[in-house]
Amino acid sequence: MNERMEWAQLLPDGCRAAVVDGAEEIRLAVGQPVTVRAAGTEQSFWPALTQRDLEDMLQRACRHSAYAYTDTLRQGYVTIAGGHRIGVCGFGVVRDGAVQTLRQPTSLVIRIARAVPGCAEPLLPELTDSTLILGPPGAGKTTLLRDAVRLLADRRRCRVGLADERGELSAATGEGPGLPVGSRTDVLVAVPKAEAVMMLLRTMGPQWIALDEITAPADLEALERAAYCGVKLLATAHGDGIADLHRRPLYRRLLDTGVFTRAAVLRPDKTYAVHLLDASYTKEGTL
Amino acid sequence: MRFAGIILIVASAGTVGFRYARGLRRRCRFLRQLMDALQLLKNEIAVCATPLPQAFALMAVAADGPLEQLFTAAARAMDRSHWTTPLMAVREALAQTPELSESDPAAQTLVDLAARLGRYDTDSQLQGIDMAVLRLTELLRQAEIERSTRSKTYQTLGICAGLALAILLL
Repeated sequence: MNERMEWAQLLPDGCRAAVVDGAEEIRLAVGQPVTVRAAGTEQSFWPALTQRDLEDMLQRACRHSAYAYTDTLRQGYVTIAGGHRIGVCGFGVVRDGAVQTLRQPTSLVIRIARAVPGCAEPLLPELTDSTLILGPPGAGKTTLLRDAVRLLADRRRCRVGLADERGELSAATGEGPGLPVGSRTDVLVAVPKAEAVMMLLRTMGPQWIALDEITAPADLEALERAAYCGVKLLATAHGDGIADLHRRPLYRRLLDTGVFTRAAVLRPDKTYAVHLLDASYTKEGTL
Repeated sequence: MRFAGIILIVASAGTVGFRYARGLRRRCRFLRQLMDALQLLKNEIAVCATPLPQAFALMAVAADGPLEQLFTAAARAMDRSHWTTPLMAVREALAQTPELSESDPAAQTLVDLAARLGRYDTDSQLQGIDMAVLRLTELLRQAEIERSTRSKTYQTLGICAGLALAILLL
């Protein structure tokens, strides 16, 4: 079984019917059937799962080495080979006010990573300056970012630094990236984004730095510093549209700094439009 | 002709004695290697948070002989299937290593440790490794006592037995 289907090996016995071609998301919860979302439709597969099923599945996802995944588990996820991300809900173990890990998982969601080569073709001509990819969860931000990075590195022959904190952009292992991110892309995996941006900047001399999901003020500070050094940035953020950027304080600060000059806004139907952040320019594309 | 026969008998019996003595030396070396491998495992877990399949593979590289075979088999077993727990992997690897039986106290220590590996709590695993190393230290102490007291005895006994047999056959 290749890495693309590695997630199928994790499913409990009796759930193999849920291995559906083109699956995008698999949800597993205690007392519920396995739910698979593929091509915009949802299918349920009985029997209902037990807590033990989920516990064992999480152990398998961690390769029976849960200690190696504590950093990501405390943030609620585990990334497996192939770049697939497993979101975990359960009981938090809190010590001194900080989450140490999660135990007794009650629900898991596997988000299948897949490359869609060529989906960023319409975006490529627009990548002349720092660009933000905006979209709601599941719209395809990561997929678009991955392909844009690949095109920048291979087509434009740019040196790209990829800050892949969760390992799902590149699916990198010791043998190199498992998903296509371009031949001139340096991937830094499992390092917090803000730190990774500075490390890439200091050590790899990138022309572009790409990262998934700006979520914290520290990420913004690192991006600002990188922008002042003349590096172009490509990043994703959660949001329904440009108006969201104005509404949310973190993103408003992003606009105020002027780090990003354009935004590709994804819609739930996997199409996207590129907007200049300071004008009314728009260009359409499809994932 | 007779002289050649005597030499052959003494050499054969002596070889048996020396082989027993070498077995004792090998046992000490094996235990020391196993302790080094566990120390490596402890560092890999504590410092690099290396997942067990890779940690077993690294332990195989650092060892040789039956231990290399054992850890390579354990790493392969865990790599092959997500369903293989560390305990299952070590048991399977022991079954594939004829030089080591599960009844060997050192192998039993390894099996007990494997049952504790892979949990969420790093500290308890490190304690488990420390306990295993402590048990192996005791086994090594016993093996070294045995080697220092019996090694020469086996060698001398082998040669003497050969000589006695040769005299009887003359």
